[in-house]
Amino acid sequence: MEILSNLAVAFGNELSSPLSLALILVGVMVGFTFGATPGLTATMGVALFIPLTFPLPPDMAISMMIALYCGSMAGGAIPAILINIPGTPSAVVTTIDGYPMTKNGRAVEAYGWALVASVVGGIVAWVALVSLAPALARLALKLGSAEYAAVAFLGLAIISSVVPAPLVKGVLATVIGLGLSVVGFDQITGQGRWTFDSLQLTRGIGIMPALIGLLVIPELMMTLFQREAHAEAPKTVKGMFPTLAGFLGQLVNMIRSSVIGVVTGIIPALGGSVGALIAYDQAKRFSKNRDNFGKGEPEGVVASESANNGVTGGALIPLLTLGIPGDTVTAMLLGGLMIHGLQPGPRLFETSGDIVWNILAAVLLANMAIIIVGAIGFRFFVRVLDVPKHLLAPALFVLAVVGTYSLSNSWFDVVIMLGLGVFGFLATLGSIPVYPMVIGVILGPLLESETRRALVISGGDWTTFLTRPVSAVLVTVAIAILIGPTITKFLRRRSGGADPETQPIDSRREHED
Amino acid sequence: MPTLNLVASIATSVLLIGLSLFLAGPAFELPGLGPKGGLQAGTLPQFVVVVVIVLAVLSVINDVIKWRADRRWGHMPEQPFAPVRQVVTVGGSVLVLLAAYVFAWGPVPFPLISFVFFTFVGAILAPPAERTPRGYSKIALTGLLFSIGVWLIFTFVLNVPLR
Repeated sequence: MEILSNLAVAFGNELSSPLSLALILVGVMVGFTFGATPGLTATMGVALFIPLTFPLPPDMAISMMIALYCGSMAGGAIPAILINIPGTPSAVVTTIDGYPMTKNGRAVEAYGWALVASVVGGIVAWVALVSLAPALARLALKLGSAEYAAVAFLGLAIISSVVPAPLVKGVLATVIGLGLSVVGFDQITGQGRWTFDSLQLTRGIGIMPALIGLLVIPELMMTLFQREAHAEAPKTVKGMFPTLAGFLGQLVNMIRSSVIGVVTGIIPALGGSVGALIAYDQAKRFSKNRDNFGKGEPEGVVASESANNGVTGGALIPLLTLGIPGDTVTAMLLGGLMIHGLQPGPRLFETSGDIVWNILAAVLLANMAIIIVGAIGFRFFVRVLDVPKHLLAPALFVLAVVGTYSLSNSWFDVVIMLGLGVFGFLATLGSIPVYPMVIGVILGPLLESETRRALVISGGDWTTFLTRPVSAVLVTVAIAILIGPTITKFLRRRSGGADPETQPIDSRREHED
Repeated sequence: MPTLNLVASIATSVLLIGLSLFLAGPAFELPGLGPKGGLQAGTLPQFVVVVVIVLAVLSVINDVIKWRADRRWGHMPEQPFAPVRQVVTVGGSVLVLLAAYVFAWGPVPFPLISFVFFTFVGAILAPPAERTPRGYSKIALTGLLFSIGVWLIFTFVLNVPLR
C-alpha cells in the first residue's frame, strides 16, 4: 500500500512537469541514437551526458540517464535487424532471427516486435524493481558490518568469475580496481596511502574519472577499428505493430524472457547479452516453431528484446538497494547519482525517498516512451548509421575529456582519466577485462572499511564472518563461485570432456552495454 | 590466442609488475596486520601489490601456454578485430594526439586546441575516399563548429569555464 501511495505521488510529480517528461523523451531519443550506432554504447552515452545534467535537479537528471539506458537497449535492435550488426552488445541475439526476417522482406515486422517486446520487458522489469527494491533496502538496513563486507566480497567474486576471461585475469582486474581505491587517505586512521605528498592524490582517485577512463576510452578506441555500416530504411512502416491476437500469442514468451532478463540483470556483470541468450534458448525450447528459429522467427526477436530490456530494471535493483552496479551502465549511473549528491545503498530510500520514487516512476515512463520514439524516429535512427566514423570518434573523445574536466573543474581528473584510459585499452587488447577494475574501485572502500569494522567489533576474530548466518552464506557462495568453475573444469578434463576455448575479443566485451 | 593479444598481455603484466614493485615500498612502510588480527591501513595496499605481481605472472604464463598451443595445433586467429599494423599506427597515433590534446589544453585556448585535435584525428581516421581537399575541408569545418559549440554550451549554459 505504501508503495502504491509513493508511486501515485511520484507519477503525479512526473506527469505534472513538462520539463521532466521532455527530458525523459530526450533521454530515450539519445539512447536510441547511441543504441542504433554500432560501437556506441549506453555506457558511453550516460558518461558523456552526465555533464549536461549538472543544472538539473537530481531526480530529473537521473531519470534522463535511465531513459537513455532504456532507449539504447531498444535502439540496439535497429542495426541488428537491418544489417546483422548489433547496435549494443546485448542485441547480438536479436541478429539471429531479426536479420533473416529482413532478408525475407519482414524488417518492419521484426522491428515492430522488437519495440513491443522491449516495452513489455521494461514494464516487467519495472514491476520487479518497485516491488523488490524497497523490500531489499529495508532488509539491507538490518545487516551489520560483517554482512556488508560479505556482500561486497560476493559482488567482487561474481565479477571476477563471470567476465568472459580466464579466472586469473578476472581476479587480477578486480585486485587492480581495489588498488585504485586504496589511493588517498585511509578512511579509518587518516594515514596517506600512495599519495606521494600530492594534494590531489590525497583526495583519492575519483569514481567518475576512473569510470570514463576504464570504460569509455577503451570502448572508443575499439570503435576506431570497426567497419563502417550502412543501412537502407524500409520504404514503408506499414504493418510494424503486431495484431492483438499476435501479441497475446507472444505474451507468455515476453513475460518469461523479461523475468529471465530481470534475474540476469540483478546478478552483477552478466548483462543483457547473457540474459538474451538464455531467454532465446528457453523460447526455442518451449516454441512450437522451434525449427524456424534462426531462419526469421519473430519469437526469437521477442525473447531477445524482452530479456535485454528486462535487464535494465534488474540491474537497477542492486544499485539502488546495495550500491552495487549490475552492469557497466549502472556503474556509470552510480557515478551520476553521487555527482548529484545521492549515495546509492540501503539508506537511499530513507534519506532521499521522494527523489528515488520519482526516478522509479520515470523508469516506467521511459519504457512507454520507447514505443513512441521508436515508431516515429525509425527512419531517422536508420540514418544515424551513415554518420561517418571519422567525424564521430574525435567528437566523442573531446566530449569524454571535457566531461571529465567538468566534473570538478579539475585538470588532474583528466590526466587520471587519460592514464586509466590508455591502461584500459592496453588491458583490453591483452584480454584483461576492465569491468572488474571498475567494480573494484566502487566496492573496494566498502569491502575494506566494513571488514575492518567487523574485526574491531569481534576483537580481531576472523570467524565472525562464518559464525553470523548471513555472512557465512554469502562468503561460502563467493568462495564457491571463485573455485567452482576451476573444480568443474578439472573434473571435466579428468572425464575426458572438451575444454572450452577462450572467446575472441569482441565476445569478451559483451557485458559492456 | 592472437600474437597482438599476447604482446598486449605481456606489456600490461610488465607494467603492472613494475608499478607494484614501485608501490611496494610505500605500502610496506604502513602498518599491516594489527596485534589482535585486525586490519591496519597498510593491509590492503600490501595485499594488492603482492597479489597483482603473482597474478600478472600467472596471467602471462597462461597466455604464453595458450599461444603456443594454438600455434602447435595450427588454429591461430591472427587478427581478432583489426590488422596489427592498424591497431599500432591508428591506435597509437590517436592516443598520442589525445595525450597532446590534454596537456596542450592548459596553455592553448579550448576551442583552438579542440579544433586542432578534431581535425588531426578526423584526418587520421578518414577513409581513402575522404582524403581529398574537399574531405579535409569537411573535417576541419565540422571540427570548428563542434569545438565552438561545445565551448559555448559548457561556458555559458553549464557554467563550466573551459579556458
